[in-house]
Amino acid sequence: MHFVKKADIKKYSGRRKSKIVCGIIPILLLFLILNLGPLLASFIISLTNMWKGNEFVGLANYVNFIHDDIARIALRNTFYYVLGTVPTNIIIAFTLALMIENITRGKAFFRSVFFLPVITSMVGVGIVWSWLYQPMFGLINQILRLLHLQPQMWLKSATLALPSVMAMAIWKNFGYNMVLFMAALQGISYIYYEAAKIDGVTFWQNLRYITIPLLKPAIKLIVITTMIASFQVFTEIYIMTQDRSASGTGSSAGGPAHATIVMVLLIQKLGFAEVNIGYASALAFILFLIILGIVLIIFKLFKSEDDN
Amino acid sequence: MSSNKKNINIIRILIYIFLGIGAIACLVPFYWMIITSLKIPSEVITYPPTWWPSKFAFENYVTIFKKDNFFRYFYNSIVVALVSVPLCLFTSSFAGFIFAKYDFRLKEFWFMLILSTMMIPFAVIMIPLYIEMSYLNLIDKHLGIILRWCINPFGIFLMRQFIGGVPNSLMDSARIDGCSEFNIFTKIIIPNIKPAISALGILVFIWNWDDFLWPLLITNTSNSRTLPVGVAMFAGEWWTVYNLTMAGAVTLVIPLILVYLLFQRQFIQGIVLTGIKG
Repeated sequence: MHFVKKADIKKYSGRRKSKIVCGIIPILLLFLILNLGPLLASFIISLTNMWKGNEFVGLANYVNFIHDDIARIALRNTFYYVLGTVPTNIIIAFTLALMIENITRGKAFFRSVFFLPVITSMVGVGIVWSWLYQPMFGLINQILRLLHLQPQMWLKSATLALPSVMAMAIWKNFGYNMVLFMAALQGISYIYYEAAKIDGVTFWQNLRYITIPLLKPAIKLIVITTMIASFQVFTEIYIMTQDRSASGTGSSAGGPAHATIVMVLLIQKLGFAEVNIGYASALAFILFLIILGIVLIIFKLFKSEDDN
Repeated sequence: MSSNKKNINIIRILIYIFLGIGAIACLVPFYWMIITSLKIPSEVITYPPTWWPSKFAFENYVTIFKKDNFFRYFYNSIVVALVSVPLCLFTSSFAGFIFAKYDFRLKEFWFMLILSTMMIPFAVIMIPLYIEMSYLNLIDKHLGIILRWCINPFGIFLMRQFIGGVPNSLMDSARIDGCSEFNIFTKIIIPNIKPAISALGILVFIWNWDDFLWPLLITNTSNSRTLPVGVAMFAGEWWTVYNLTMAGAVTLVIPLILVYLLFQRQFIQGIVLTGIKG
């Protein structure tokens, strides 16, 4: 009886169903216009010398990249940024999540406080941290002076500028991963720990043999998303490394002396200030391929460990 | 046993000290931002720094609103958010609904295609997107900023996951009652995935409110400039006047903190949702 009914409904509603399915067409069209189309267009543009000319140049832009010193510096800085921020961010996030999960009072308070930088605006905190790092009157150097330590040039120093931005980015972003880790930790059944307690295992054994293995899916996701986002670093660099002594409102970020130039900043400069969109698109594709490659490697690493 | 207990207590105290230092490190920048924004110029650059202004200069806020078009930036950001967020929620949930509950040709292919664009850096598509917008005459227009938000691959993915969990029998019984397919979407599906929608809504709101690169590229004047871009320009112009730049930063940061305090539960839920179905 029930079966017949269901079949009847299917027959009866078949036409209505195909009508509502048509509703997907505008959405797919928008997807083509706004996502997929630009992706393909970008690849085609990367094979031309637009707008310096209008010719097809094949892979010349990709070859030029190898000989471009600034692009190489940008790529190196991007890797430096990713390798510096991603592990630090994840270790801080994990440690704090573990600590907060193991205290009884003030859990909600600490979670809220550590999460606060995440929800505030990157532009806003970028401006605030530029002021904290200010060499003469910035809070950080003021405190160093009070402690009779050597004040630093921070964002104005070729060696410290990028690490300074990275410290800010870690401060701003770790709370996001911390919340993810907390949720994952809550998902681990207490039975495992109870069993371990009977066996008398230490804290480190707990961590090594229970917590981390069970958190593997969460760790994988966090590593991948944090990394993809880090490779695209732009806003904090743009805000914090502007050369304010240079006149005009145009972009003068990336300094001092290219010490903080990163891929997306370079792409934005080439594409929109110098209108060299063929080369800029090629750089964007190189960035994409790098991200893709590393994500695939991470997937493989996690997978081969699963097999063992 | 008692020494063991003592040890645990010491560890607990150490954890609290560590967390306390972390909490201070998270809060001091915000405190310093607010305090600086309320200081008179001469007090901004004193040594040693003062932790409490000797005189509150609320006029700094009047000054920045006079010197720059902050009302307009606010207005632009609010218009963009008010259109983008519902639009994105609608396309995400509707597409998620179709992908989860109906069959059509090449469905899996389209879905994989949408998913695969999740990993593409915005830098790859921004130049063609800008060219498209200039052909459509949408440079320096609200709509130009908004259009980028109308398709969100992550949102479609998330909604498909949640709508897939709504039982089909619920939809069938609505059909027997003569409910149209679109009404099934609005009356059956949407109420059943409310928590996921509000969480996605809040996430899209922060991403949208804090988006910087795209509005920076596509806006030229205060007509369409959103608040982050406006504040960044203002800070660039008044860089050495720190109390004013900090007041500018406050206008950007405080509304977000207020929204956060109001919807804290949904915020956390939203973040956790992004991590569920990895």
